[in-house]
Amino acid sequence: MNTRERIVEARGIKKVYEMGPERVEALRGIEISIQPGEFVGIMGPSGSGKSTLMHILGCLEKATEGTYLLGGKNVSRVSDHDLSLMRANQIGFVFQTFNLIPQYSVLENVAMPFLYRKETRNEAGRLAERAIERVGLSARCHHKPSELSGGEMQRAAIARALAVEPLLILADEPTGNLDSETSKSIISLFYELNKQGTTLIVVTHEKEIASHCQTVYRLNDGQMVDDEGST
Amino acid sequence: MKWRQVINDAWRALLRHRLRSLLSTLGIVFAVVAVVAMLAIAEGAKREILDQIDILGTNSIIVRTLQLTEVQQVAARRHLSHGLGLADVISLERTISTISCIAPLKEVKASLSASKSQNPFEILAITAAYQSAKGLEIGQGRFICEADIFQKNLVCVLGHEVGTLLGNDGRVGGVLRLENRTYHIVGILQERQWRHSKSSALTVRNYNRAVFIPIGTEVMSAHGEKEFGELSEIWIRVVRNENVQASAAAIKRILTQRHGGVEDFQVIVPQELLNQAQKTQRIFNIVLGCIAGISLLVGGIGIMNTMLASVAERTREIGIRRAIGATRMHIILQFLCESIVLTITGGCIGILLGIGGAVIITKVAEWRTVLTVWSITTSIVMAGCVGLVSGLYPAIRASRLDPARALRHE
Repeated sequence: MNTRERIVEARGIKKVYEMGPERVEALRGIEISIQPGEFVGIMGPSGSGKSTLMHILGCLEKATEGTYLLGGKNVSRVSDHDLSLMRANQIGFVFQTFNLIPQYSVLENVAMPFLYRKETRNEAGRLAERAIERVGLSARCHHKPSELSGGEMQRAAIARALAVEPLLILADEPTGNLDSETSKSIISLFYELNKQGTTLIVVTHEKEIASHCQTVYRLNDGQMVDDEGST
Repeated sequence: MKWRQVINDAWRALLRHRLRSLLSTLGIVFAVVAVVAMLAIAEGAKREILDQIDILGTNSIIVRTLQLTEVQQVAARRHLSHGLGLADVISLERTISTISCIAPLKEVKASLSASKSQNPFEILAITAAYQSAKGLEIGQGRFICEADIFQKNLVCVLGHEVGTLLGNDGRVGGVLRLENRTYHIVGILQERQWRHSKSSALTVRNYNRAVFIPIGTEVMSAHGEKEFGELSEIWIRVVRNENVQASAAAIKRILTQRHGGVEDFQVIVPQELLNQAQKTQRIFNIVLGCIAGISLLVGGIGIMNTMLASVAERTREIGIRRAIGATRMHIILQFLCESIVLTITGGCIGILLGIGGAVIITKVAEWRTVLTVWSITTSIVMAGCVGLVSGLYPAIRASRLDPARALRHE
């Protein structure tokens, strides 16, 4: 497949953290390529560099070495400001701890990314409502996160990631804080979204999620162990 | 960036910790109260001074008899001084060429038989020149003329309020008994603007409550002797403002000479008094300005402290905002907006309290206070600037947080 058609193209990604005299190599030459509409899983034990990889793929951090093309654009050497713009326009995040703003309602949380984009207030409201509807949380639109269950909070977080219609959604242990029943519903929601065309990268421990992934990358000690394609 | 939403978010963030926000803004509140009150008092004093300049004129000089003790009076008589007299007036008029108008006045201590009022009327023995000197306007009849002085006519002119209070007796053609003499009312003055003020450096007479009689017709004291000092006051106007100081010095010299070296009079130059008042006002402004400055500094530090605490508390929120696309500038603007909203709210509370303070000062101390749009705008802008300055460091600190690390913050 042509590079231009790939959403994510990462070559030789290395990440080194300097902690005083110590150098910690979190990633040691990662190669990843993801096509539009793909459902990718990243698995590995704690400390294997999964979260660091996700941060780099999500433009939260820059790689120390290597090339990362997101939607055809080389983001390895862009400024902090441009990285923010990439996050605002191309990426949606879903976290293990949901990371909703407690004092805002579900609707306000979902509409928050639009604060940093060009859409008008009305447009933002409409798009946020549509995203909430897609995750089946319309009835809880005006509730605060503290009034929601864990599953509902994660749905709200997914709606926030979906609302701006990003190139890809990155989820870091999205079911890590949920019971098995709720986890199942969140996994099937991801599956549904993927079927509708959303590109997903999920960092997970759960075999259940991995079973839905078309590609699973396994990390160990900052290196790719192997990758299996289930398609 | 949508400003309305940012300001709204700032409000909500501050309202989450109401007490903390209120306490941290107290310094700003006090500073603004001080500034608003200071500017209101300064403006009031300025208007007061301008009003006095209007009434007295900057080119006037007042010579007033000093209230001497009996011992001092005996000493003065030994030097052949009898206090200010009409002879002094004539002498000054002849000697000093810069005098354009001179009007002597004697406050007469006599009871008005028709007066039932608690607040007695002031009886002033004057010459015809007094009318033009003070710009008194006649409502009915005429003012005291030169002929009245020469012929010692027993006529009088009433202030507007006196005329009204005396009712039927207080009309032109009526009579007024003053001690044992009967004066014919020949004129009533028009009502004249007058405002009592404690803060003024000079006493301004209330002509509405005055009765004017020709000088020389006033009754002697009980013993038939002349009271010390034929005149209470000589009011002098000089040709030009620049002549005031030199003329005042000349007047003092001539009078001292005439009074045998006894200074039983006082030369008052309103211009000087006004300068003095302004100087006092300046000191007052400096003191209040310092209080405001210190309060602002302490207030600013308080705001910075609160904002730093807020940044530390909301590290994860900053991480979330950065993850969903906020740039560093967005974060800076968000926190700056919060600190400015905080200080401007404090400023608004301060303005309300300052206005209340100004009203209380006017009521209790009887000082004139004037609130201007300018003073309120200054206070708000000042509060906003403190918010900007004290919020800048916490905001920059927030923007420099590493998004990935901020997201992991517990």
